[in-house]
Amino acid sequence: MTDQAMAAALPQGAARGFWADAWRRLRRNKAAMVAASLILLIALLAFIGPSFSPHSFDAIDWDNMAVPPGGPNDHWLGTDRLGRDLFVRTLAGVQISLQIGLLATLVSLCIGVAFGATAGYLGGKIDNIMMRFVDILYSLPYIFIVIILSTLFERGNIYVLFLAIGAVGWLTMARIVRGQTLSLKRKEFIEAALASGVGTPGILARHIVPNVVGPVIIYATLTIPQMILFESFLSFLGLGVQEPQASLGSLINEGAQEMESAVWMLLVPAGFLVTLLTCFNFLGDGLRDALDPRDR
Amino acid sequence: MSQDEAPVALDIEQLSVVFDTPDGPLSAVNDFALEIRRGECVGVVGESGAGKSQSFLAVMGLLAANARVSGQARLGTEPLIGRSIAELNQFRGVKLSMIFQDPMTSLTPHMTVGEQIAESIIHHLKISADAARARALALLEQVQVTDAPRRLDQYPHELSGGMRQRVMIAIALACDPEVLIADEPTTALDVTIQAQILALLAKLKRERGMAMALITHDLGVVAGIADRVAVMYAGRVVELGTVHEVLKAPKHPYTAALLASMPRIDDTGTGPLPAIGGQPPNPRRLPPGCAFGPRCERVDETCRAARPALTGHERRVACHHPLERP
Amino acid sequence: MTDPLLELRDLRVWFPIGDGLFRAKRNLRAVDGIDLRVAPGEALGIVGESGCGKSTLARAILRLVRTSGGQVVWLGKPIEGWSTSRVRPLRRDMQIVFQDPLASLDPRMTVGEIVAEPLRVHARDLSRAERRERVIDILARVGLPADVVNRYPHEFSGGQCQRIGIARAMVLRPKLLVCDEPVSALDVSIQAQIVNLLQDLKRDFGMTILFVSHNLAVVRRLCDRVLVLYLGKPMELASTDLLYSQPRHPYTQGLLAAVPVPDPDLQPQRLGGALGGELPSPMAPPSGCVFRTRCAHAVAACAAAAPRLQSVETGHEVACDRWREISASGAVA
Repeated sequence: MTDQAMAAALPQGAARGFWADAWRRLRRNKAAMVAASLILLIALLAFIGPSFSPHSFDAIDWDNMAVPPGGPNDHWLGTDRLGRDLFVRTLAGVQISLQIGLLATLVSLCIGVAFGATAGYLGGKIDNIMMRFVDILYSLPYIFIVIILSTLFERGNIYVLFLAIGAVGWLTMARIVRGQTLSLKRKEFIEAALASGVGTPGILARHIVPNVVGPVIIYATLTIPQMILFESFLSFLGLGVQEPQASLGSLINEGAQEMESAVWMLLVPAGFLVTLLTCFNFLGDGLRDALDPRDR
Repeated sequence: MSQDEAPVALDIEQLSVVFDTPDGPLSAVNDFALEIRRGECVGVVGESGAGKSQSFLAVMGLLAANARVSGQARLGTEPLIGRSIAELNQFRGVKLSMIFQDPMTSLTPHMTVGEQIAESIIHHLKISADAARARALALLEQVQVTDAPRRLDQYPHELSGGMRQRVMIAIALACDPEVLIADEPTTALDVTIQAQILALLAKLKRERGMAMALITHDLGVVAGIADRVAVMYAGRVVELGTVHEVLKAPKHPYTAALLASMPRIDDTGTGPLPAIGGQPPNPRRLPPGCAFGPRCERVDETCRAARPALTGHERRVACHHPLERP
Repeated sequence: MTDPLLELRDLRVWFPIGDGLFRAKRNLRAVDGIDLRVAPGEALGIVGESGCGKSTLARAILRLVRTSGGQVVWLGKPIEGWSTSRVRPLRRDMQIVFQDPLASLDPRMTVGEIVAEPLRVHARDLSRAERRERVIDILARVGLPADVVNRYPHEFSGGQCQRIGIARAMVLRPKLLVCDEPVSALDVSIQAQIVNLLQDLKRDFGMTILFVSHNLAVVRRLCDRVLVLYLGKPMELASTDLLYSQPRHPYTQGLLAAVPVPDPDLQPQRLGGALGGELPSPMAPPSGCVFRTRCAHAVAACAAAAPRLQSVETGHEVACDRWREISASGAVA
């Protein structure tokens, strides 16, 4: 063979790994990039913003109760009925909501990936038993479990509660990972690894998990807003964060009660919630386009 | 040859296909020209990416939305390029039919074989359901489907790959087309079934006097039923001639090298094959001059400087240094 | 014959179909009674059409599918029933090259990691530098430069991916290389390169090759002996010369006649003699000789008993009771 011809046909330029490729595609997606920047901005604001304000999230300002935003005071987004600064309270709420969303997603991710990959790879009877277990959990009413859990744990310990929610919320993740693993298992590169003598843990760690990371990241990005929404829902019902702590859900709950007299108390936290959820969904869609191998 | 007097059934001129991709335009077919006469089978040979399927999908109006097609193709006197889908549907499946490599994905899984053949007949010929069913049965018998009456009521998944391809051929023949385009019709089939389908296509061509384009990567497939052969490389026709001329006395070094590198069943040699070096070119990074140049043994400065034009009348070759045989 | 490297004794692979609860449990006999001795350094072709069990047989030898009966004997030791961990050391001596070059390479790994994987398992005492050296050596041997190690599979063409797959299989210098349709997914102009490469490697390393393929022309070029399978059963086993010049089994004759030849003077006639009929369902194979439903020479007796491989001459066995009556009319060369 002519060496020049062979060399000419070899790939040129920098090596393009999967992640470099995905990053390139994601960067080209304007909506996803704007969403990601907004999320970063809001997160940054949530964690350092309160230190710029002279108020604390639970301090009551007797002189300024239920003032609207833009008034002649240093409550930039107004105050609530008790005179607590809405800017600081909303950011504290964003903090808690984000932490809870990430925590619950992380827990569901760890359980879901381990469970799904094991069931899918081992297959057969074990897979059958494991997935029927998932089906049974699926058929239990979610909200019912959460209400039971919230009565079991000391009220107000929202982190324990969401650890528990994450532990229930991994079902869909497990199904996704199992499905991916089943299709991966039939790929020839898995057979090649088997033929090379790679053991089961090695195949799971070196071949299966790296190849399911894409769909897992996509689904996780879409799970975070679900979890945030769920927390808001629970707090709205009074099952979540307890006073004087604030989450976006509890703030919206308070705001909704004052909707007719002080509409900003609803609009400010709701605005943050809607923006966050929209951004996470846009980012998830963008990641799907960037990471989905079917696109390639 | 008597075919020279037969009227031209499909005439393709200056056909080019460019795909708009996120990484910029991608040229798949350049200046494709071919005329196929009634009763004639032209083999279109090339490797993956040579543009052989894209040329005919363009003629059929079946390319994806990001394809830009220029040039001309005429079915008899009817122009085909640039027509609307509604206008094309007057010809597609009627006078101009196509069969594909994978007969499973070309058939609808939830309809019986009889329904699928009859659907096309009823739609185009406007005859009663009973008459269409009778015609469907006759067609199945013509394509030598065994146990045809029973097959009418079977679903595609109940048939073997070979049987499905026969059903696809029956659907393609339902309205007596003037031109049949067969895109790798036997590639997915086993070798004994491939021989059966090729024998069937040869018989149908002979009996019906259709014009046929047989797209394939296998020179052996072409040798059995084609009258003429067009060899494509990197989106262009590089050699055209009768099947005897092209396979017995190839003029383009690519054709010659391809023939030499193919192991043959009747070859007793055991030494190394005279392989073609290198890889098929990346359409985004075509070499300057002749696209086959970097893999060619006869390459020189002329080849690197200028792309050779396809010259000649009946016998055409695109090479600065064509092979001459006694 | 010297001591065989590999011996198969009545090897069977049956796949159970149906759960036995709602549908009757039946067996798909993918491989049904194969006896074979493979000598060291030999290239054995295993040919047949889809559904004949050739790929399953290859995987059964490598213990990638579970066998249902019979024995795989490796260097004189029956390895049937050995545990996964007991088989693992043997894997360094038996490697496989797959049909789909891209699918057989993990898309998330670099070429260097892919080729080094067998070394990670079987040569743990190698340092990183030694491992890298071995990888670059074998890549050079299959015609790829050292700088490909940091690249990813999708950046390469099919032929180049197949070279990477071959490098991975060869990096441990195995005694047995199983090639499962290694050229059928490649472009025609690339097939010859890979065939030549395999020939070179076989000559230089002296390994045994099991070459599974439906491409009879490639098998003729590369193999010393050929086994023809049909519906999981052996039809004919002969040296390449004898099989192609004097095929005895009607199926072998039909198979050889069906392969197209790029010669317009010969090919039209060859199409006329195509083998008729279709492959019967492997779930319900014909009684007696499984080929009889498509055989022009079949008689009533063929339905009664399945013929076993019988010797025709030295190095030529055929599973047909009527081979004497059937002339070698299907010979092609």
